[in-house]
Amino acid sequence: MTEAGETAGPPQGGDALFAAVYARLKAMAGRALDRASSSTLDTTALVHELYLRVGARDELQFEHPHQFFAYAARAMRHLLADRARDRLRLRAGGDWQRVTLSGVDDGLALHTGEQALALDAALQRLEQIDARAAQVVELRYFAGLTQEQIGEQLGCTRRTADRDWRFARAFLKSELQTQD
Amino acid sequence: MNTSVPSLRDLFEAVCELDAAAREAYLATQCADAAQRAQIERLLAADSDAGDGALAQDAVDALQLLGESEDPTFTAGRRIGPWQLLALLGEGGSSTVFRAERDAAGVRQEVALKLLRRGLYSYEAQRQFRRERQALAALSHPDIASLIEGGVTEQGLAYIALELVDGQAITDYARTRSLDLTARLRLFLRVCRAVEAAHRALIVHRDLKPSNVLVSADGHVKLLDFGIAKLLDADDETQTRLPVFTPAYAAPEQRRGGAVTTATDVYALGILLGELLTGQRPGDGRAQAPSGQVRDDAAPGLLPAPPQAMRRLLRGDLDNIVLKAIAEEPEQRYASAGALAEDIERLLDGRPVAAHPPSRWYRTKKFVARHRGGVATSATFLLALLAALGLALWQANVARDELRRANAMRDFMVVAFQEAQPSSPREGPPRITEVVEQAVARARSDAQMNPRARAELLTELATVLRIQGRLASARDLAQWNYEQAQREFGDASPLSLAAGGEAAYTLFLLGDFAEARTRTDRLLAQSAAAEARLRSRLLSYSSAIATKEHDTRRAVADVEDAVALARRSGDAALLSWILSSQSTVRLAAGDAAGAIDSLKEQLAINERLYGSQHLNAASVRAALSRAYRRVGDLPAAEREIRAALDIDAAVLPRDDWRRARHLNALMVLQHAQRDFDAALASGLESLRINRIAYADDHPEIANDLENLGRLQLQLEQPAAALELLREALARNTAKLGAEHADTAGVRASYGEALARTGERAAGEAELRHALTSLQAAPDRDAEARVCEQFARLYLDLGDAASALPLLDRIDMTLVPALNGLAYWDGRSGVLRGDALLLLGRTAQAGAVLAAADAALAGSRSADPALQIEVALRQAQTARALGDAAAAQRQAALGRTRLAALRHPPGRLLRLAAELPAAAP
Repeated sequence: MTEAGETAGPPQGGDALFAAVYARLKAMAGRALDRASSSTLDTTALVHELYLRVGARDELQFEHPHQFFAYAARAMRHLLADRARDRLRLRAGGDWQRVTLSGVDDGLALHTGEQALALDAALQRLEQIDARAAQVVELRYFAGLTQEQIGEQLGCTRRTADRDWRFARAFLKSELQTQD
Repeated sequence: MNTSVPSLRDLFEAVCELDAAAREAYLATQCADAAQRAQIERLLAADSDAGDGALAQDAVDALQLLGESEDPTFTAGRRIGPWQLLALLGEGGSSTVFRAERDAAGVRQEVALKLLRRGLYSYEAQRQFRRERQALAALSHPDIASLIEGGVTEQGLAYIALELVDGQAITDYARTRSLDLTARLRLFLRVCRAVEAAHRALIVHRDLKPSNVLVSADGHVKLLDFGIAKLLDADDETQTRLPVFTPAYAAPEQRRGGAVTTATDVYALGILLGELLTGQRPGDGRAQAPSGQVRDDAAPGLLPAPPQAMRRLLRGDLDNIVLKAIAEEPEQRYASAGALAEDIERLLDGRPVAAHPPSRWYRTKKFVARHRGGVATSATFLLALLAALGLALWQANVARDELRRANAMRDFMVVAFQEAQPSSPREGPPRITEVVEQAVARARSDAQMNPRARAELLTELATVLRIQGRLASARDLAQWNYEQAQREFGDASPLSLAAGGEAAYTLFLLGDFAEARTRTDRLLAQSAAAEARLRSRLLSYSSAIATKEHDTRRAVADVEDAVALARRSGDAALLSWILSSQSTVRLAAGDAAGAIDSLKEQLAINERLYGSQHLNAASVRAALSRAYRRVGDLPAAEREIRAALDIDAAVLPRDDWRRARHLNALMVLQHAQRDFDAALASGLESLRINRIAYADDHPEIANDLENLGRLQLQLEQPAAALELLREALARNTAKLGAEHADTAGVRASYGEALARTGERAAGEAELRHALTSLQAAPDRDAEARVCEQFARLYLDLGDAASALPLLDRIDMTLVPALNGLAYWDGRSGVLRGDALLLLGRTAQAGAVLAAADAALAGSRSADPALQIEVALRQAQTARALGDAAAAQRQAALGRTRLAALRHPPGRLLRLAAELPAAAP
């Protein structure tokens, strides 16, 4: 009774795509972060690399290149939240888990984990209030797009994207401060 | 959102560019709610702060800071609660599954133990987990894997012990067993009913997908992880959790984080149904109808019917059912899994389904489909009937569909190829063998073809190749098909046995009797007694092999059994075929009368099946003609072959290859009637047709040339014979090889023609070569015939000393090995008498000739020329011994017979001329 992950077959539509993008990002992130030169890696570069790899595989067909970034951003967000949750579990975990912690500052890691989860929760609340503003945050923070690109992506003007960002930034910051 | 009150964003945007005083004034009038006022103040404060806080960090930086954690490693023997872990079964996104056991009061219990990846740390989370677990434990349904136990360890580690189920994902199960549509729908119905039962207990699955819907080897459905998704959700990080579901099967509201209801499971069931029917999951919210998702290149077994048929079957009700189940809005879907199940049941019963817009036309269609017998088929209804019939008939016959499909394909191929008419000139349409070879290539490479249909088809195609004389290709194809079938269906599957039988029979025809025997015996041992048709065929092969092994008793017994089985099978066409085998065996066993009985029965069957003016009647009559000839009833033989040729004239073009076959039978009869001129004409016509009908290297052409060559030898035209036999020899050498038994037979005649045209040394060399080839071949009869031919040549050349060793070989070695074949009765004795007379051993000759005479007199199929010769040689002997009276009596007898003989051999004419005239 294996709970087989839904491995990517031919594109079935959005959700299979998401699963596939997420799986690939996860594998890539693992390798990329292990590299010694990982200090040069940032979100924009990682997502770009992901785009190249996903694009090179024709079984993942995006109807529109813009579609990819929405998926990538969502995948990155999930990945970060997952990692954060794993990290925080250590705090409460018993003797049954063995964790590799090479070269990681424990304290900073825990703080980052808390912050990441708090951000994720705040983002969820923002989604309830203003879905597009939340999307702008996703694309900017988790996919490393510029405001210009975000405007294109969402089919709105740069000015609208800027206004979304300003509201989202204020909202998230205030939420995170409330948490602290 | 309440539109009368400005939203947070409206307020923020209205005031963020204002100075402090203007903000205060605006908010005082527009934002009465104190909480909202406080929130907007916090937003404005955050907005004015230049720092980005947590947002300043790059996501990848955060990932790096978090580091990578390995998944927890468990070892066998570790305890979780009362459970001992045995082995890792699998890992999912939110849990890890182990096989685990516990020993409760001496009873060992094995379970699937699910360990949640996240701990339940708060009291509230643990309490909720226990509450859910109790609800699940109360859910008892035969088709739902039960929750055995669950708990939280001291470390906050939550686990669930579930019934261990051994099964296959429903989609894999349907694919690997190539289930048809009805079987899939019934299986799916069970799933719906189980889900419905859970819904009544107010438990929603939340994560239905193929890997959670297993089917055991005996076809029982088991749903796994019922409600587990909810349990997994019950942790203390409610604000930040990622919902537990599988995106591809998750309903839109689930993906949006909306309320999960029974309609969520209905959605997943709809996706599952679509996947079960088309192999593809219906599209994401674009609501693509399943009929539009059937792929032409679907893997074998993936679809319940061929793609074309599948699209037709889906269009209409099934499309509507799936689309209703996966509707975007939960309220548009079926209200429950039970409602979905009911619609599937209605569909299976041919009643109107709820998923269809209830137009009058639709209801009429359904009504007609349901009452096909009762509704008057007026023009209007006829249309409705035809429209509804496709689905209705299909549903009634799904179980038989595969068989029917295979049969239809087989019948088509057999009819198309066996009855194809290669009567066109060479430039015309492709020859049968070309068409067959293309069909073989297509069948072998067509990945979509049902493997059973493929095996059956390839066996038939090998049969056609065999009938067309492409023995090597037929053997290779049959062998490949046999190995393939053994791999796919096992050694004892009827498909394998049929394929193996074809391979064995082709080997037999290629002259590999030993291998054919080994294989046929093995296949017979493997075939179940119940497979009457298959066993009947195998026994007839065995019988044919036994004939060549000169094991007459076995040949007769096996074909007897084959006939009995064919009779029992009730398959008249098979019985007809087996009877023709029986006639061949009986003829070879010297039982021409028995052969005639078999053929008469076969003729009656074929006339009943096909009518009296049918080719299948003609071919039996041709065989009857051969049998009558063998019993010496030449008038009956003539009557039958003329009747066969009359049918040919009525139903076949002049250039048809079957007409050539019948002309061949006529030629052999005319040869027996010693009407050599007429035989020559028949042989030439047969050759003309075969040169048109067959590929240039077909054995039939070489056979005609050989027959014509032998006829010319009989007509004492060795020069004409030499040309014909030279070509026949070249063809057989190229086609069969220089040492093949058939090549050797032609070579012997060619050698004789050479010797009779004055090339004695070259002729003798060819004859010796032929004998050497035949010694290596298993057929002693052919070897004996060449020995006889060779001996006759030596005697005609006056070389008795060379003839005698050949005759010894016939009498001492070869004929005894033939188990007393009637053909040889007295034959060699006549030649031996001649040889002894030439050597002056008169008394010995007299005894030998007397014995030969008696043997010939007792034989039903004696060669009239030999009967004349034995009389004349006895006259010669009597004269040499001084018995004038006996000499005169024998000479008179010989002369009387000779006068009645057409085309008398010059040798006998000369002999009769030198013998004393009748007594004065």
